[in-house]
Amino acid sequence: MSLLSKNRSVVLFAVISVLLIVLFFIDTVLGSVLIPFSDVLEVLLGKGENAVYKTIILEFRIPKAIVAVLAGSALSVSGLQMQTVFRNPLAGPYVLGISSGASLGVAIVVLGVSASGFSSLSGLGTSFSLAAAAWIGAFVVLMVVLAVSLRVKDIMTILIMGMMFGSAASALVSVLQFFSSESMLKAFVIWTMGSLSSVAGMQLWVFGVAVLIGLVLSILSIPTLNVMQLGEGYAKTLGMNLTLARVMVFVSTSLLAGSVTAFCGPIGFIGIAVPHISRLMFRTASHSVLIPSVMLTGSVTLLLCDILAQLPGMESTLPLNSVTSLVGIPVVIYVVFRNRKFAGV
Amino acid sequence: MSQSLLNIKELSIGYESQRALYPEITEQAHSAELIALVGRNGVGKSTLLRSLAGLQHPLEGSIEVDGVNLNSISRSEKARLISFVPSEQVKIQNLSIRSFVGLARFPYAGWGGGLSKHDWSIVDSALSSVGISNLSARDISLVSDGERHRAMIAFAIAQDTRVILLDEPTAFLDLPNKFETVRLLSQIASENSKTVIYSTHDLQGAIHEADSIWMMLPDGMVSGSPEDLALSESFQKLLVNTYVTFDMDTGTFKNKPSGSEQVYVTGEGLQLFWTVKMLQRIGYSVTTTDSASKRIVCSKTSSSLMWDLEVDGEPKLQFSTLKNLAERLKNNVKKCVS
Repeated sequence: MSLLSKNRSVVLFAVISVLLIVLFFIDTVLGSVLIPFSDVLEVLLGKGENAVYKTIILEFRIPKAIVAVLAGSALSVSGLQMQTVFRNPLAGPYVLGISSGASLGVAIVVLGVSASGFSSLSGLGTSFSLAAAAWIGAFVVLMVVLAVSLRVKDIMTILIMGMMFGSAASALVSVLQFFSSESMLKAFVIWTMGSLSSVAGMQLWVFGVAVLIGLVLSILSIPTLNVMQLGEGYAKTLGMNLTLARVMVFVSTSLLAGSVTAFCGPIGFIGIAVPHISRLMFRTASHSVLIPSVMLTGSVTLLLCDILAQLPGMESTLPLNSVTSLVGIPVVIYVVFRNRKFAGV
Repeated sequence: MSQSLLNIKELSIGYESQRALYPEITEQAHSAELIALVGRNGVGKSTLLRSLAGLQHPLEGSIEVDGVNLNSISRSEKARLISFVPSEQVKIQNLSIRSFVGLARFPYAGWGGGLSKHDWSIVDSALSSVGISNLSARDISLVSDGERHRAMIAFAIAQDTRVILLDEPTAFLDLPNKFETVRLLSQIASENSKTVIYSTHDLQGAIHEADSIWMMLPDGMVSGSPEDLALSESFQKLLVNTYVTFDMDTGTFKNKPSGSEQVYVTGEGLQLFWTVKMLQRIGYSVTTTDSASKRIVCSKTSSSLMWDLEVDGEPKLQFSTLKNLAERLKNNVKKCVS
């Protein structure tokens, strides 16, 4: 049986990896500018001569596909970590209020400035200042959650604190929205729709390093995650340093979810849905399998969502956040009905 | 007697910044000893177990295992001396029983959390010692409560500690599983020279299987072998202000005092035994003097059992089941009352 499941995992990993490569390629082929398949291949092989195609592919589409891979992994791993630590299948990357903190940061920059009269301030829309603001917002929420989790031992209290803090941040965002100008409001709303295409050059490096550190932390947490899913009692009986383990997971989750929110906006439902897709496929509760599998599955899912958002064959694109929600929500509904505890069967 | 393995000195239990929940406890437990921890709901059994397991800090006092004070050692050293099986069942989807028990080796694993062949052989022998080797690949959320609880006991065995604590291990189990679990705990204690302490409300089972009973009375702990506690009439202290009584003659608990009304019974063998049981259940006391106003004669034909009821001043009645006889007697009592 264990040999069988091992073989099953190997086959699944191979299939998903191939799918990842195929979708990565499709994502670079598709876009609002139609580039013939053969030209894409030539540019990728370094032989292309059309400078416009070269710029579009190397400076826009490939970075965007890389961002999709990184953001998909990051959101899915942080969602898995939260589901394990809070022992709740509906937890996601944003339960600690990280996304709301990031939104508040962005809102203060975009809307707060306009409310205070500096509406002519230039460069507000540059994504780097938005990312910095979002990061600071996420970081402040993280500090509060950490401070609470060092003092409070009960995991439900930490969860409630995170949710309340997130709601408070959202309320402040609404206040800022109410007092802001129309154009600023539009800039903010566009940020909340999510986009993978505003990360390039230096920002891509910053984003990549932040996500990689978060992923390494989550890999280091594999043994403690396996124990934490049994609950606090078991973790303590087994002599685990629960506070340290939680701090590691929270820092990792904030780096992952916070960076994605900062650079791409709040992308919904990937983080909740993908861990369930992985569990259904791999049928395991072991994080040494789940962590790599949600990384791959998350990348594949976000690439797929981005391809759908391109509306292949049309010139306009859909907001990414809507697509991820429409893809993720059916999965979450399926999980809720499949779970005997929730469905009440 | 062998040297004590678990030494509890002046232990005061309760929650931080509050008064102690219970008078100070000083007790010793020995290796190969199965101890049943009993007491009324809310008296602090779980709190005591959780304090011993290190899930919450005792307010004062010390706990020593094998001469080592638990306060002076690290978390993971403690995890190799004392293990705890909570009452809450583990129902994690997609977690195989073998993987679950494998997590018990966490205190012995290195940084990466990987298990050695030696670890897995300990896991497999723990599974076989509780008789669920055949279920090792099964999903722990899909097996029966009894099987799941065995997996949880196997977890504690695989953790390989001198002391195993269990919080109400028999609470959700059916009767055969209850007996089997307590027998298993007794076997674990004696074969591996461990101290096993389990909390329970099944005093009857504890009297039959446990080497010692720790009785948490509201004013302090009373401990001893089940028989010593029976002879010193200690069980009665647990039953103050209840309708339950401990019958010294049979070593069983009854939930009604013997009735004042007497009934005379004649008969033989099992038929007599169960007739007397029924009469005691509905509140009669059985007498051997035939001057009583009610008399029952047990008899049998070749194919069935019969009971004759004679009541002074009433015609004699015959019954073919104890149920009908009991109903008739109960109605009689009601009539007398009204």
